[in-house]
Amino acid sequence: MLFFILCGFIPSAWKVVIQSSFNEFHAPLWEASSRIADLTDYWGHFSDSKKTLIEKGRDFQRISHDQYLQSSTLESQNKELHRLKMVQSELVVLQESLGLEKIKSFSPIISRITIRSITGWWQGFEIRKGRSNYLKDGMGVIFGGGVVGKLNWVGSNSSEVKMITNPSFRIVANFSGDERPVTFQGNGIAIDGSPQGIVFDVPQDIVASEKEPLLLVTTSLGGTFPDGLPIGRVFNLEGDKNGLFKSGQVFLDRKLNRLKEVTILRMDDSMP
Amino acid sequence: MKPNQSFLILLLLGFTFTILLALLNSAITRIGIFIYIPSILLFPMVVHLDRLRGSFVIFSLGIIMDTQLKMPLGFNSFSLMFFFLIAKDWFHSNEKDNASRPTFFVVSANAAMFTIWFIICSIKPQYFGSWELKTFLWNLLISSLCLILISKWFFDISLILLSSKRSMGEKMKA
Repeated sequence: MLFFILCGFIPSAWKVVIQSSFNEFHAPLWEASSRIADLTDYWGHFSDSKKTLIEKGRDFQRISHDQYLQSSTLESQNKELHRLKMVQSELVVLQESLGLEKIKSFSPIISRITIRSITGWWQGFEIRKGRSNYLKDGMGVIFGGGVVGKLNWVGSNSSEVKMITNPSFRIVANFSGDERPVTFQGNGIAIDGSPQGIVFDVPQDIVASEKEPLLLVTTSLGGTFPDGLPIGRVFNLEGDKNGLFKSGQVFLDRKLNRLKEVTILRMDDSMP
Repeated sequence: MKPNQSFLILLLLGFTFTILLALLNSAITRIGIFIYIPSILLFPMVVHLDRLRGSFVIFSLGIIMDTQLKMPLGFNSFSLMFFFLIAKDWFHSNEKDNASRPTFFVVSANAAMFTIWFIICSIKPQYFGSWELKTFLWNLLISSLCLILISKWFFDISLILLSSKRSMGEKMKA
């Protein structure tokens, strides 16, 4: 008990300094281990069997054909891109004339994950990029399946990401096709490894069912993420304790705790 | 062997173990398993180090674990030091021939630390994060089983390292 009392008297500034120093001290170890794992994976493929090589060749052919099909529509895509750029420039002129706040723009920064720290009380991981890539606390992190989390701590060459499943992770969101804001909060990872969250403050008229689940997406209201990135699916909504709103469980992408690479949404105004 | 040499070897062994455990946890958390076994460090330190050196090693490794596991700074270090001091008195005042007793002590200390942390999380979920009872019990069971399986092995490794260092010293003297 005496030890816990002593611990309570240590100034929090000292704790932060020590914790930050230890994080910086650990970072090269995690990076080294992650690079060794990548190298092992690379060298491991040299011993692939003929059967594996044939299978990979087949997959490569399929991807090449898909690429060929997509490149055949290149001309129409370029026209669409040109049209969108025109619309965007018109929007900027309108925003300036009305004196509205500028829409935040993001640059994608891709980074490998070095180590995951997924305990009962905390879900997060470390990545290989930090202040040297102009990353800052609070920036959003995404992957192919949607939102991953936010940057919680940024070191010189490494950063810590607080995952969307973390119980202290909260963002404003909305259901796809409905602009009313709702609150999303992380709810940990179940015993079988499935990531989960909770959605609060859902208006009474919104209904979700097993046959017609609702897709929860991000909104730009919070400033961290752009509009429309998928968060998860809701299959059931029930009345809150106060009866004014509904709440329900959000089923997130199962790949969340198996990721190897993520994209950080760096805000363009954070660049020097 | 000089006490400072044992101190350094055990500090390095403990540090390597915490790093390897973090890497293992990083790999297995994808299937929903988390292993928390800080008390495995207790027994080699109790047997091979005196109070001062042992406390220092335990405290340093505890801080490393606090940082790795995102716990409030000092939880593992102070709890481990508390159990280290109890174990030090207990080890020197009890019969040493019963091999299952140290394992029992280490598993009990681990379960106590895990439970205290769960209670703290339940009381202040807004600061430390909420944690479901089902997940806690599952993690506790897995961690205790791992501890039973590897605590003896970890102690043997410390013995091998210390005895090989001792024999190297004797050879050099000869």
